[in-house]
Amino acid sequence: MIWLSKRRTIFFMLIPTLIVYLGYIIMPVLISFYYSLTEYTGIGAARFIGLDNFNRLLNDSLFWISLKNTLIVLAVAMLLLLPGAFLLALLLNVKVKGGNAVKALNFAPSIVAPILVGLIWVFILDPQMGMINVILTKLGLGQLAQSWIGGKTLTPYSIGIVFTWQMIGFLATIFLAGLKMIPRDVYESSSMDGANKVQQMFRITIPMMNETVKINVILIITGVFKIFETVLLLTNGGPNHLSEVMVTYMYNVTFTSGEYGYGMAIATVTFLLTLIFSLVYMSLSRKSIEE
Amino acid sequence: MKNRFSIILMACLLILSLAACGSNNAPKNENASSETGPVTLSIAMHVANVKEQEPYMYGIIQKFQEKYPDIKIDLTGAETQEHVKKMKMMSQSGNLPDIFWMLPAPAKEMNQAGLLLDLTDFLKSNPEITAGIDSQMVSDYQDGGKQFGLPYQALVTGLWYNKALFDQYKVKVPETYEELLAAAKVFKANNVVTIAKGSKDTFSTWAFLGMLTRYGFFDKIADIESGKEKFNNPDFLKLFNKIDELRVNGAFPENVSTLSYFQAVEMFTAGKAAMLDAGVWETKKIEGSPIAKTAGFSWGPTFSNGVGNQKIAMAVAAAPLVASAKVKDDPAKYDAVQKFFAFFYSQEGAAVMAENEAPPVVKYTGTVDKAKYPVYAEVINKLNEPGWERAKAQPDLVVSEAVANQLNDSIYGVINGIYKPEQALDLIDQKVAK
Repeated sequence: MIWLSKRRTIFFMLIPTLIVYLGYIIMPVLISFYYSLTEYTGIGAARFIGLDNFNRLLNDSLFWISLKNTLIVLAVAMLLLLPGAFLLALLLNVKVKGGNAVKALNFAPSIVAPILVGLIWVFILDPQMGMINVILTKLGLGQLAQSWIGGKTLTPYSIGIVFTWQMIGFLATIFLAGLKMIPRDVYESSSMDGANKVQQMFRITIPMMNETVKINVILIITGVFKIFETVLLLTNGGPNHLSEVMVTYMYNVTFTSGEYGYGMAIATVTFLLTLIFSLVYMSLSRKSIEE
Repeated sequence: MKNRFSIILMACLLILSLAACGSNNAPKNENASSETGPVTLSIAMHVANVKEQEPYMYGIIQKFQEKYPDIKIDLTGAETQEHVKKMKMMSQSGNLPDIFWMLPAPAKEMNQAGLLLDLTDFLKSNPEITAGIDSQMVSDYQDGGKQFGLPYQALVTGLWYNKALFDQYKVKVPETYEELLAAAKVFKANNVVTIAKGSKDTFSTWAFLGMLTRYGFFDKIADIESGKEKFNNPDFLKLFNKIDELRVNGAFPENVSTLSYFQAVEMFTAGKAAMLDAGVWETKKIEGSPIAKTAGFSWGPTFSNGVGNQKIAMAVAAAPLVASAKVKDDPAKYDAVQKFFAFFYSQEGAAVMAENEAPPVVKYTGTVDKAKYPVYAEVINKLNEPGWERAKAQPDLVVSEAVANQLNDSIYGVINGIYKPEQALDLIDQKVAK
């Protein structure tokens, strides 16, 4: 089987995957970029207009609202989801009776279709018929009832919480796998040296989870920049685009307004921002390790 | 030897991958024949479940297949936006279905790109059909000397009302804006929604588009599009101020921003709202609801400061049924398409529409059982009510998709309290300018 390890064979074996990857990932990205330079309604020929669509983006207040909302969701996810998933993984790592069932339950939100996630949360967050406001009112705390969705300010924060709920089990499972990879004898020898649980956490667990944290942060960044169905179901970007995130705004512009060229400009910017955020984070995390 | 074997294996894999990626230009329909024998027509519609959501189309297709057993119909459906997206993509790859529903603006673009069948000859060879359809509805789908489509259905929109609630609170069913405002104040005081609406589906602005025609929309739109006039003009501003006044007086649901159109319909049919902004496509649903016996249909309020004739009814052509230009390449298929259109617009087709409580596009000579279908009978009465002039079209169907989207968005912006009336109109002007 030596022939299998030869570079030429490996290259040939990769060709089918490469073709699929080029055809289904790279080509659409390039095609989208091309259309972002055109005025196009989806029918007939596209008219090349250079960077006009990108200039238009700079003056489009709705685009900036969608970007701001996306960044709010990202901030909520970083503040709640990342530490939350880590703490959950620590809890799941404790051996208790019925622990496997808890692990399965914790993963459940991740396998629910995003469209259903949206539907479930409508019944929780809706200002009129939603569970939260109804409970608050019944408890005599009606003054605390808010427009969790559909108002002018809170929707992106609510979307961040829904995203956290949806992703926490998945990220906790990745953290859990990372925790399981840490050799037990490291803890045992540190115990013999007199380290307590807190010291073990900050001196052993967290540093050794660095790669896992990196994976989860990248998953959060890419996940947030492609949030779509949840927003669609919760508010459809409304009222009047105040809760749009970048992908829903791109969808609205492209498919509801029929402005394909402009929509592709938004898609291109979304793609580039995802890439930039991921690369900047990876670069910063590499630097912090080296230091 | 092993090396050679691996190279051959890789080459095979590569060829298979390329074959899988290649486009298949072979005709999908093996039954299609240009000579004789069975023909299959592909028909694509704008609803996910044609049988449930467009029962008259489904019924017409069934009856058509009974009449022409050699013509099979491959019926597919997708939700409206998805359907439009799909048709646009299929137009790019040259694989449009034989017959399909399309929004007027993109249909016009498809016609200009030479993708649609010219139905002029069909109308010439079927004079009884031409005479049976409202001439305005026929001319709506002419462009560049071509008849690129025919009205799929009559778009009849306005305000449904529940007479029982008006009686309960001793309020008159409004005919004028002042009466509507007075009713809204009474209903608000009694925690009843006056007009059920859901802004999550911004397309649901039909009654308000009808109101726009009562402020001279069709007198102004050409000048607005040519830049001589603005959408933000004193007449349209009067209407948008009135929408704002209705909002301030609590005419809409408090959670209008998180409600969908379908939830608004549920609210009305459950007797929780006095009125519903919708069209006759809801007839069957209302007929089967607890409010069937007290439901009525109106064209919406008239305005004392409106422009021109106030008695304008929104009974117009909805969207066209079009055929792919490619069907002409296959005589058998072309013949089948002609037969389908002839059946769809025949009295037989109209009877199926009437059975399913949809207003026929052609002049229908049959009768309606008022005892069995009180809601449908009410709609037909309304359509025959004297003194009402029919609008040329629905305003959002004569402008580009982008402007139509902004028009709906601006109306809901005022209803949601997000835009001031002037701001809402300025946003439409900005879209027109693009």
